[in-house]
Amino acid sequence: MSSEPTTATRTEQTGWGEVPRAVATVLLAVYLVGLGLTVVGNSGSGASLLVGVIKGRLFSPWLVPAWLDLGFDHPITYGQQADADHWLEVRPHGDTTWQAGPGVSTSGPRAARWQRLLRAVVSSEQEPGREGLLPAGFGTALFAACGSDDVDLRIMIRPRPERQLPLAFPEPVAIYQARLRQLSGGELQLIKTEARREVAPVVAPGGTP
Amino acid sequence: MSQTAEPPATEVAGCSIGQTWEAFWFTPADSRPLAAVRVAAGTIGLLACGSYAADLTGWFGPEGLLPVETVAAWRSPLAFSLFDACGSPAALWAAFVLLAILFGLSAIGLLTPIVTLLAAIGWSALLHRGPMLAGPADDCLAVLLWCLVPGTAGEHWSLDAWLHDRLGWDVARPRVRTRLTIGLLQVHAAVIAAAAVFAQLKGDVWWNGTGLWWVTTREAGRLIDLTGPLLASEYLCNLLSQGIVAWELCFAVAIWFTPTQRLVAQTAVVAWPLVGLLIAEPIWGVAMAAFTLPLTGWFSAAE
Repeated sequence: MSSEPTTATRTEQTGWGEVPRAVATVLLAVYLVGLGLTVVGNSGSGASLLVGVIKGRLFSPWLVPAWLDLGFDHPITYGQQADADHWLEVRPHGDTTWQAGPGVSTSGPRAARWQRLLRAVVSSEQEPGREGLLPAGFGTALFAACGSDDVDLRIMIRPRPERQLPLAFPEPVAIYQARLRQLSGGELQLIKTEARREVAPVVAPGGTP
Repeated sequence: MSQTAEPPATEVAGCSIGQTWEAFWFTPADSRPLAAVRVAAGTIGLLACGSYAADLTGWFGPEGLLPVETVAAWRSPLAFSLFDACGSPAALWAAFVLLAILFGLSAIGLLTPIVTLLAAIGWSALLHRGPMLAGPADDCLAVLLWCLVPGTAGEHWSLDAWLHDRLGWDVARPRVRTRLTIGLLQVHAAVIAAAAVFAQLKGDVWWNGTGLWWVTTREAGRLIDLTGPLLASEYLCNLLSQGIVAWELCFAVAIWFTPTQRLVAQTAVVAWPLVGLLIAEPIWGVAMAAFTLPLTGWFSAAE
């Protein structure tokens, strides 16, 4: 009976040979470059167009499906309105009373997911190609919730209180509002309601508003 | 008289870098620390699944808020999800329960190499089904799972190890694959912490000490309410806010130096979950702690 370990066992105990180490080194180097590019290119750091193109062409095709094309951009908060608590309210179109939408009475990590969803609705309004996409997708669920094919939805935020006593939370503000209805052909129509402050005043020919 | 020619400085430096690289990535390592990471990752996966379960059909069901067509138009064209094919609530729940079972199997260590790979694929698929729902903890869990795939996390403290023991198979030994995995975990932990620091330093609130105040005033997702103590003491608010940034910076740097590595890693096991609790991202805190487990020295083989 031989007391010599097998080649595979000996290699595993003493480390890899030259060729496997060389292959692993190349793979590691490629991955680490990709990791660096995802951090630089996804973190809103103002990375150059070249970085974006290299990452998009060479690295994103295999990093994206594995959920590894991440910027790890975790500021936690910038102290801005976008970080404030969001919630969804709905009503059949024409009603005067708003009802709490889904996700309002949640807590912990579950509530955090609802917050991300609603923030995505608001922030995607500034992203070309994504405007109105998420609220339009809400259609079927909201029609069922309201029992109507014509609903209003709005996303409210609670502005942050200043760090002073007495603690006073400002009044909630509607940050997004839209009407969503199903047309006769089954097609959905989203009519975004612009906030009054975003609409330019009408100026009469005489110069007075 | 003989003279010995000294190698040029660049050659010495290149040799030193090469040796450091070889030692960091290719020195065979014991897999007990990876077993600890595997148990942690499986448990974190179950917790993360728990935060999806109550709203699963409400988000992804046939009449959910996030229809497949909407999400497909929203996410990257390169992304796809196995959950897209789940057209009925029953299929959706079956896929979701299967994923939860994979996390459970990962935690107890049964069929570890296959289960870890399937859990990583399943988790990525779930995140791609609703990318706008994903947060820092989800990102970190995905990275944790993919890092574990090449490793040998089932050789200790697992059903696999128990079965191998019963069958008389002695498979546990130091391996290069284990060292590669530990190295990847270390790199990612440092990168995540460093990126978080840079992101925070872009805003004024982490410089002027009000960062934690703004986090605490968010009620959704909050586990503890610190508004009272933070209002009462400006110093406490500044200390905690700037302490979080200082900790992240310290971690990202000190994890690379031998004299400080073990101390920082051991501190991280407590500090990251505390930071997670303060910033209302408890699972993120636990996931960050899991990255550092192999560097604590607590799970190394006895000499």
